[in-house]
Amino acid sequence: MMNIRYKGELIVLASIILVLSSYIFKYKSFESSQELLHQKQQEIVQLQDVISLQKIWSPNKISQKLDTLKHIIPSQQIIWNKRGKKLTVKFKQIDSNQLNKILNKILNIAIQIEYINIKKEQNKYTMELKCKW
Amino acid sequence: MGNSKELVLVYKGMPKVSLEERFSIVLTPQNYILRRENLPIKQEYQSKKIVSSIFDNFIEDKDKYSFFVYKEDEDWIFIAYKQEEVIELLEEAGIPSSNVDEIFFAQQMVSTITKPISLGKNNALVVIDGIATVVPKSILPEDTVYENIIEDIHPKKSVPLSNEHSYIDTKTALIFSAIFTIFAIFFIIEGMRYTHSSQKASTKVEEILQHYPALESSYKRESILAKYSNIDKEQRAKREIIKKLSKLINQNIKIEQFELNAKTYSAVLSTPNTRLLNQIKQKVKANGMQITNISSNKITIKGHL
Repeated sequence: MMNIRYKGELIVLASIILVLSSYIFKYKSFESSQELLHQKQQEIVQLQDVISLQKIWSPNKISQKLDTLKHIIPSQQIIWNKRGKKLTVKFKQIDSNQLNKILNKILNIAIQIEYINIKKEQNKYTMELKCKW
Repeated sequence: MGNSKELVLVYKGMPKVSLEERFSIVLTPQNYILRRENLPIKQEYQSKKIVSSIFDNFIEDKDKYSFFVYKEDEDWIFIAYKQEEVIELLEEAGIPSSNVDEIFFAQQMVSTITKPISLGKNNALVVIDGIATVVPKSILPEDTVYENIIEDIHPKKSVPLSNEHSYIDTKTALIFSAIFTIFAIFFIIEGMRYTHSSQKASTKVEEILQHYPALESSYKRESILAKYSNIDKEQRAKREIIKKLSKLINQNIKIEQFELNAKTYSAVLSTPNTRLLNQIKQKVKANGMQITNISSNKITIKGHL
């Protein structure tokens, strides 16, 4: 058996080097993983935001959903002008119930409201809406 | 087992030796007590267990002795020696003990000793009945030819010289080493766990991008986010204004006019009951809207989005 000088100290030193190296590995892994984790989590949040916003404000069948507004009141009271993804509509001589229904409807359709003008004339209302999607 | 190292036979009264290189020593019976026993033992570890009891009644202060065991033919050879004595002997011979790698015993070399080996002026190492023995030269014939120790043949087994340069003995060092190694394993496992957790997040991003490949570019994502965030903010604000106004309207409070554009809104509310004006005012203020004009039965509200 080799009689190594400071054998005990060498064994302890080697194990200290091992434990220090592994601690440095753990610390570096922690640092880099936290950085990467934070970056990836931000990326996930951003992606989820983009996807959900896209789903809210670029949904399908908006045009068909808007067409249901025509069924709320008789067609002779509506001036309907839809071009591409833009709509200008005027509802004439509508009562407060019809106005409520129209407002509720448009609030629940993911359209981008550009302009609304409501005017009361005697007991009837005129409502003008400009929107896009 | 260090076979290339030089072998030095050490004995009492040996001349001073000057050696710079590391080497091994061979002890003569002057420095050890030997017992040969034929025991029904097969394994060396079993013989090590009983080595101390083998020397009962032969040595005192057993704690001061070190022991060495090996098998020679069918017998077990038990050797007791004092490390301190060996070190003292080496010091007397001018040999630094730190240069000594291994200790061998003359008994291990009996098969190679064919002629007496001289141990100084007075003694010689001979083999009697298979036992290496130190005898006075005076009992040997005058014409005895002495040989030197055969340096090329090193026995298989050896013992280290007590590690006097270590402040930590091997057993303690191994215990420390085991503890540190356990910690090291924990740190490595933890480190790998951290790496794995960040990889998991990367995989989730990849999964999302697989479903939405158009969002792979961060510039595109930011541009879409900026566009839709503004739309979302503006449209939510517009809808909130309409909802607030709807809450104010009932059978006694009617809306006369309402206008909403990209930046501003205005509304005129009316009531046939003038006593309700204060109530409307409170409700408007409670909803965080600003009254710009109050006439006999009308309230005008204006504000920015």
